[in-house]
Amino acid sequence: MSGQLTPEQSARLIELVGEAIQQEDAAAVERSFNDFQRGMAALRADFDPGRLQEAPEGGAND
Amino acid sequence: MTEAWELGIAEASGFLRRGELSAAELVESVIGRLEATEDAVHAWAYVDRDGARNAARSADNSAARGGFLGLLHGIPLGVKDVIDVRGMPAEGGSSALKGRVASDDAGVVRHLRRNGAVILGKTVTHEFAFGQGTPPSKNPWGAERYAGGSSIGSGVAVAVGSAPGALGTDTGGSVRNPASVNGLVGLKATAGLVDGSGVLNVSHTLDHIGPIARSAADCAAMLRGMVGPENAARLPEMVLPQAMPALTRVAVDRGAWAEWEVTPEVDAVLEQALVVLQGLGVEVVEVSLPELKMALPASLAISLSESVEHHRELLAGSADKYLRGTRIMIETGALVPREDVQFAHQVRSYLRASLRTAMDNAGVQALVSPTLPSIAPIEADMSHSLTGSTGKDSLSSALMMLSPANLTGMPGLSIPCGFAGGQPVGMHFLGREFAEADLLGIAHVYEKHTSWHARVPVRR
Repeated sequence: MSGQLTPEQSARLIELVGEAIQQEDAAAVERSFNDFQRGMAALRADFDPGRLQEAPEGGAND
Repeated sequence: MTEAWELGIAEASGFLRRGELSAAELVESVIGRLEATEDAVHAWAYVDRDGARNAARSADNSAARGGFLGLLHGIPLGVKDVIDVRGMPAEGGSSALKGRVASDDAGVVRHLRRNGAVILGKTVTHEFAFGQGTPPSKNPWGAERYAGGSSIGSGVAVAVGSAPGALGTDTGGSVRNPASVNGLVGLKATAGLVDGSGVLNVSHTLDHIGPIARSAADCAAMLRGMVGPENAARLPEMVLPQAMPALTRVAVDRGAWAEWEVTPEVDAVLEQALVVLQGLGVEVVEVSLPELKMALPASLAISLSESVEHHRELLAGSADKYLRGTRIMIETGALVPREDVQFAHQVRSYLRASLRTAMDNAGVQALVSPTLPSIAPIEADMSHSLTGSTGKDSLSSALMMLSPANLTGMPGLSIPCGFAGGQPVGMHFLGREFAEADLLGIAHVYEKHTSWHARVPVRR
């Protein structure tokens, strides 16, 4: 997601904190959620068990 | 002459057992120290002076009848204000719980009392242990610097001597991080070892209760007293070694340190600590564990999404009383898609197996790293965002090296290993499940040959 919250996401937050606070927090929540999603995208890119097993993980190379 | 408040837990316990010090004298000395320091460092949310004095008298009476309950008998301890202590305020550092008083002891507090501990009071926490905002507690090594979190008061209290030990909670490093910046020892034990009931949770699958103390021996004594009878068999008798056990081997992943932007000054302190360990007979091997960096985003997906259910009811009536930063973290959690949480659990399973295998293959007892990538940042310059990109002065970066222990359930121990720019530096050991004794043993022998842990309590 980038940009504004979807109506479904806004509704979920209104249910949690009420409409006034949801509006007050919306921009900061969007930024935080975008950051979170970037972290998850990087995680999905990193999570390749096949590739990781080929890396020299865990083997002592002293 | 050493005053009673300066004694560590293990040392004080010896004096108490031999009748050279009474619990009442110890508690009185610690209360005196608390009163001398509290206006400057604000470590305590609540102090139960009368309750502590009564419990100390009771401990003395019991000892006089031959009823000595163990290493914590008569020892005053602090408890982070997200852990319930019957009859004491339990506000979790939040205006949203103003006036709440715990009706019962948390499981871990029951075990501490059963083992003779005296509960002195509640220590300051970041609101609901989310690490947001700026609690009043001050870093005794530099009042303008980050004092650690979210178990901030526990770290500060132990560092200045207003408690010889304190409980913290650790979802992504919140015991080990304040231990590191305050020059202390902090342990996150293996998942499931310590009873987690009676706690205001961030995340029921990532939260761990852990001890903060001034030495490995004190930490071991606390851990022993925290574990209930149902788990006692999982914690072997901890007789800490006097010399490094044969075949002690640890791994380092210097590539990860570079990726985590460990500062040159912290790097230099760690390298020196590794030289000391090698001199004590520890074999240090190099490994590459690229999967470690996956722990923080996976931990966030799980912890933020779990936090929503822990706060839904309170938010419904008191959302305006939360700090905005805390609330935004929980609201972010409410938006985390179910498939991201499922994926994070997949990563969790993968990491648990992968780190176990890596340690088996390398034949090591622990993976060693700096606890934090830099010395305690200037608080005013710090980013408290959990989800934002990491930088050396951000809360996210403080969690990078610590979150693998929470995600996998493996134990993590931070010990002081030197100073940089006048600030303590922590060395972190990530160990095998239920092998706390191995980590504490290595730390104990290291302490016997270094003086870093003896820089606390901080006199001011």
